[in-house]
Amino acid sequence: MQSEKPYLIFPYRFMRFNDEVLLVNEAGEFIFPSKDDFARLLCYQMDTNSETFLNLKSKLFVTDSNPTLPIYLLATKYRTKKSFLNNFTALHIFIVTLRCNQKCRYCQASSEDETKTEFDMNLYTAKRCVDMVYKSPSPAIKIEFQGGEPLLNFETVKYIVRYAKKLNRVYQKNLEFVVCTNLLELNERILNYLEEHKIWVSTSLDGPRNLHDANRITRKGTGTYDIVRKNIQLAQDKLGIERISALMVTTRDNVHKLNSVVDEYVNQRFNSIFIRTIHPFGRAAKEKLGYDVETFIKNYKKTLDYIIRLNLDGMSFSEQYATIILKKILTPFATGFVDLQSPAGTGISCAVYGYNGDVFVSDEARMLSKIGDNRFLMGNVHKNSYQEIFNGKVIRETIENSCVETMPLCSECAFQTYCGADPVRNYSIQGDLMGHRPTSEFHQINYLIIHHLMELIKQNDPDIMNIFWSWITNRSIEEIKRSKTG
Amino acid sequence: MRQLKGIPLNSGARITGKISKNPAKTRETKNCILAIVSIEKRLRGFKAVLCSSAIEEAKAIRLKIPIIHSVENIEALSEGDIVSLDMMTGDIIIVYEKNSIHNSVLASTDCNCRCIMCPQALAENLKENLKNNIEIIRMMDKRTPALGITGGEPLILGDGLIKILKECKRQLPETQIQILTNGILLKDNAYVRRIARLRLKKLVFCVPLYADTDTEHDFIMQRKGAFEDTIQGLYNLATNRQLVEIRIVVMSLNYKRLPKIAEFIFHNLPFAIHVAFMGMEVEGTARKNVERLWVSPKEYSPYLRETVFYLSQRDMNVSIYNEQLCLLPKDIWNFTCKSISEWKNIYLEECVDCREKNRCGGFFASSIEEHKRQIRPL
Amino acid sequence: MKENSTVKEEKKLIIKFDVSLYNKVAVLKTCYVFQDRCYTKVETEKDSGTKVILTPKKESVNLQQIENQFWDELIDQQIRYENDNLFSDIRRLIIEQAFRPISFTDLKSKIKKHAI
Repeated sequence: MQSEKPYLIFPYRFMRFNDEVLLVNEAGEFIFPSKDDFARLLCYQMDTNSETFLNLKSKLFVTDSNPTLPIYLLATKYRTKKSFLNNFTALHIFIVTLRCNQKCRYCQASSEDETKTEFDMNLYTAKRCVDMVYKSPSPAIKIEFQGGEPLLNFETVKYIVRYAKKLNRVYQKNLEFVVCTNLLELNERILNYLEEHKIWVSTSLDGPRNLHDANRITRKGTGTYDIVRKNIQLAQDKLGIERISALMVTTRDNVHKLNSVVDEYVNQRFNSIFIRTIHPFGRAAKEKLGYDVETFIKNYKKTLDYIIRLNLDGMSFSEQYATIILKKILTPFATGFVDLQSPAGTGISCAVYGYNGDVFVSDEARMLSKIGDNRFLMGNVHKNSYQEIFNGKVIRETIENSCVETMPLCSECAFQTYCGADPVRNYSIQGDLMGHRPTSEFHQINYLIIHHLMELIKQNDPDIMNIFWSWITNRSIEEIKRSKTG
Repeated sequence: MRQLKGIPLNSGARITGKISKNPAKTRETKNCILAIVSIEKRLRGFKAVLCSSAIEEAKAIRLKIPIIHSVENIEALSEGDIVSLDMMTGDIIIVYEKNSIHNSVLASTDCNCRCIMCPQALAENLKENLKNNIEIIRMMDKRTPALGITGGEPLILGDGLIKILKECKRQLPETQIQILTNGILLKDNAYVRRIARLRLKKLVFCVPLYADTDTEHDFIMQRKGAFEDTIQGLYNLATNRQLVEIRIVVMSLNYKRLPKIAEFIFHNLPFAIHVAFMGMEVEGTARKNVERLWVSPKEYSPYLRETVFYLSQRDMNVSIYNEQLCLLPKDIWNFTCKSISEWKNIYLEECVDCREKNRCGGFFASSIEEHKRQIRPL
Repeated sequence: MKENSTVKEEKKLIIKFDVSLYNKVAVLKTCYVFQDRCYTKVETEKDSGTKVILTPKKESVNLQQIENQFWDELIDQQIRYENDNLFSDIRRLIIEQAFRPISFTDLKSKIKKHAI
């Protein structure tokens, strides 16, 4: 250790945070020294016997002893944070058809009419895709059926399930299936099938009838709320409440009424909501369904507060996006959330197989292809090998430009460990994979939400922290407090 | 260990055997020590005989078998217990109690540290009788729920410990084996791998951590580099998929930083299957240093409470050992355990009327003076 | 030009500063941060030194606030720049150990060699 200095400082990133300073290190551990303490730290004038110094030492920001152990620990923890890389592509999305029985106003999948069966994935393509999936080294595989509306091509869905399970008898991977459906086509036969093969169901619910039907309409223009509600109940009763989840899209219609969306989710027996922003692609951009960042953030905070109050009153209900960020901030573990990681999940954690066998890094990438831009087309299962697709130019270039460690503004941001990149979005909105941070809505929204959660963490209200931990560890508050004997 | 005493005859050796209360000869008899009220007839085949009544020396000599007579409290011995007899002094040491969940094997009385709160009287360079320990393990009941391997520092035995573990695997395949070690010698990954290859079904390493930084921890262990070595050892255990429990003894030197220690554990040692906070046992070196080390439970309980909830929030398994319920806030009672070995455990007069006596662990007989001032019945 | 100064002229902010205090990288990074609110231009003149010209993109932007924020950000970026020099070796060691781990003892010798 350099003898002139009383202690060694380990790498950290910082930002001013209200009256204090926030420091975050490579392992994602954080601390809030006062401005004075920060200045003393920088000038090597901090008293190594002080409580503040011991706290910094304990969290691996400084040391006055041999640095080997802290470096060893920081390296292990950095590796843990990046452990989602170990298994490569785990999530495989199959676009089994472009046909859809709905024509949602914000749809980015550009749905085709129900009669146009030329947009179905045929069995031959399906087989080649599953073969490609099983070339992935990941010991856990999740096959997600999307579309259009996947239930319109249920035969292919069943074939894929059958064929994947057959291959899995040899490969012995942890295999799961999810079907992303609007539930309009749900019937007894399909329900039985889903139950038999233990398939998870993900549906869409944008709020109570007036909000849901504002955008989620049939091709004839009629609302879908009544059927959706009825079928959600059917599915929950048959498959169990845990087996079916719902996603929402925040639009201009519901952005100011998110509390009532939460109420609707509670009424329909869901125990969590994922407040997602709209992707300004496809039809959404055309119909100008957007809202500005400030509006979204203001309402997100308001509704998060509402959800916290529901929890304080004894309800178990979580917000999934907040849960993911909290897990990144408060635990040493990695999350499997492909939309906010560095390097981005595009291609390496998740791949999308189009109805004709084209392979894309993400669903947005597929959408770009539909309007003529093949920038993110990795290859085709009928023409290219696994190496050509998953180790080709497209995936490499996308990933090289999606490491926040080396992106402007991100490289020095204190929230770096908690955030991630979306190169496809950057390209489609700003024209370049790296993107321009100051004008990026993706950056602004993530930054403001992380900032808000960090403030709540700093306030350290014991009841709110218990609620956050109940979300992160998926247990009740009673279990956390061990308030029952035995 | 619990001890009885009597008057020895017919031998000057050390004898170890399993207690039997059945005078009839069986296949087991040659390993057994008979415990009866009085000797009526000739007893063949037993290693030794213990009786509570007195016996004439002449009669005893005729029986030609090692005898300890006039043993008080012989009812304390149960069928299946294992005792070690010192035939010179008449001491009967109960090394294993069949009906107890707190049995342990004293693997070594030597240690590579001199922790300032160590309750164990250490004897330097005394090679504990490895052969004797293995013999004792062989006599243990296969249904023994748990067995501790303690010391001193068991790992000092090196290959000897491997032999003990092999015997445990053979004789006690379903027993939870807990090795109490400071973990320093586990920084040798090759050694850890050897233990891992034994594939014991339920092996847990119980390792102490006294602070979140090296200077404090090393001072308490009275050994420079202990923190660094112990953490390395813990990581080697994790890499070799061994189960780890972390133990923290609460004392004046660390109680204020308990929440920070918990933070360190969660962020750096999240693989620990259990974290135990323990009250100090005022014995041995701890007795010598008690003025410096003792802090009253009333004073440290707010820190302990914060720490326990911190770990529980994060879904880590946490317990409080060696604590009395009347000195702890009620909302952490569900984290306490009755952890003090029955033979060390007492209750005070004040405890007689306490309604929580059944739940409470009582406390160490050795700490009686310190506790007397604060115990209140609930 | 040895001193820092700011001038508000025609709804622009012209900030001149001492180049011996602030590294070029820190200046550029600071300008990048303001690109959502302002157009930025960095110029160097032989006699008058380095200056940054900030032109707000919207009428509503408060020039005084921009100026205050600019100086704050510049100091932070300068600290970050100096930190980068301080941290680069250790950061490399951490990442290497993360993805190409060596034993603790080997790591200890490696660190000794770097004289960290």
